[in-house]
Amino acid sequence: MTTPYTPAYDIYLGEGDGSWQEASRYQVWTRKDALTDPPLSVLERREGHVLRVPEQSRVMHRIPGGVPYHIEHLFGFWRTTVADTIFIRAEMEDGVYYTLIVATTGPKDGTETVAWYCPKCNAELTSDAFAARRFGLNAFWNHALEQARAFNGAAARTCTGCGHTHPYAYGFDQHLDDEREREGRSAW
Amino acid sequence: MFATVGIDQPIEKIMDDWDYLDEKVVKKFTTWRETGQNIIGIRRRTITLNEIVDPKKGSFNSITMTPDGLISKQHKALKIHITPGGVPHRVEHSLGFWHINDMDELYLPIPPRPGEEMGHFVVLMQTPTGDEAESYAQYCRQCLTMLHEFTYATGRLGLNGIWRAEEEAVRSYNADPKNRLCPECGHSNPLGYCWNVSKDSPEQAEARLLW
Repeated sequence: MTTPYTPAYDIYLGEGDGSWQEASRYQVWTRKDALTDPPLSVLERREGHVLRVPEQSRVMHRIPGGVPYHIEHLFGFWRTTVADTIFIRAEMEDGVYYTLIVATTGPKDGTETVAWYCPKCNAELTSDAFAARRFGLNAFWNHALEQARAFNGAAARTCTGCGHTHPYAYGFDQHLDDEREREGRSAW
Repeated sequence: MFATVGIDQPIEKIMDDWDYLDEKVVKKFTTWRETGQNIIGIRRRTITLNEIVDPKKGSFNSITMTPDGLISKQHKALKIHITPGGVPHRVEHSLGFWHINDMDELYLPIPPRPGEEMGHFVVLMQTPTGDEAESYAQYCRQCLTMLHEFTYATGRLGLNGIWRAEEEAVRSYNADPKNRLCPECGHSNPLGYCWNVSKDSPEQAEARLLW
């Protein structure tokens, strides 16, 4: 068995099918949206607070490993990665270019988690851990979609503390959305 | 929808450096800065859809050494380029040596904001640990025989020492003319030089123009 030698990778922002690309020890996702599309806004949970990264025309922001984050309209759950995630938003005349970059080096141990919290009282509704380092990135996104669908069909969507009902969850690939997931994607 | 729990406050109220492209923050990244699990550098450059121009060094063209020979890459706006760990690479008129890094290097040129002249040339590198290192090498320009290599144990010695290591690599190579004479093909190679033009001797400045 031989491993192909790749001396360089080129990834053009806004091109491709919108899926994640694994280039050597980096995972890269990029997409170009219309200026009129709802912004992909980053929310982070830090010490019980939900914080929003301002939607400026240019942003380069680091989401530290271990911090649960959600990107509105991109994936419908809170993701926690072991590694840092770099988020870049570049508004141009012809659209908005989004980029996410994750290095696959870094801490050897740890799992990725998918979680949901009550939007009203902040209580954790459900969460699930996944060994992404072992099973890979594609398996993680497939697993996240399975978890989102399980969440949508479960009582866990209703907060036992305050009774609020969480909107529908959704996965990463919008082409796989069912009707409930489409509703969820437009809501949060 | 999370307004009910707070999107309690904008992140900038409680966190410094939340946007690395902010004018006050970007200055911290003019060379290299260890930030979380990455080492980040952000350079202000003229960035268009066709090319990247360093005001002091000209057009930014990287060259990669492969088993099939040298590959030249034109960097341009909105194109991510990743040089995987272990691949010798250099930038013409910018690096007077071949850089061989155990870590991947990722380049992302972002065009200027409307009304601005310079864009942001973002360079990311994973933080080396343990025995992970980098080296500054010289190869014969005629036959690609390795002439000289200076290794710096970045993982053990830390990022702060890389500029001194680069300088020492260039100094030790340039110190003896025999280093520049290829033992295989007899070609006489030009002097090496550092990334920072202010370190150039007059002879190194000449070499920078050459290669």
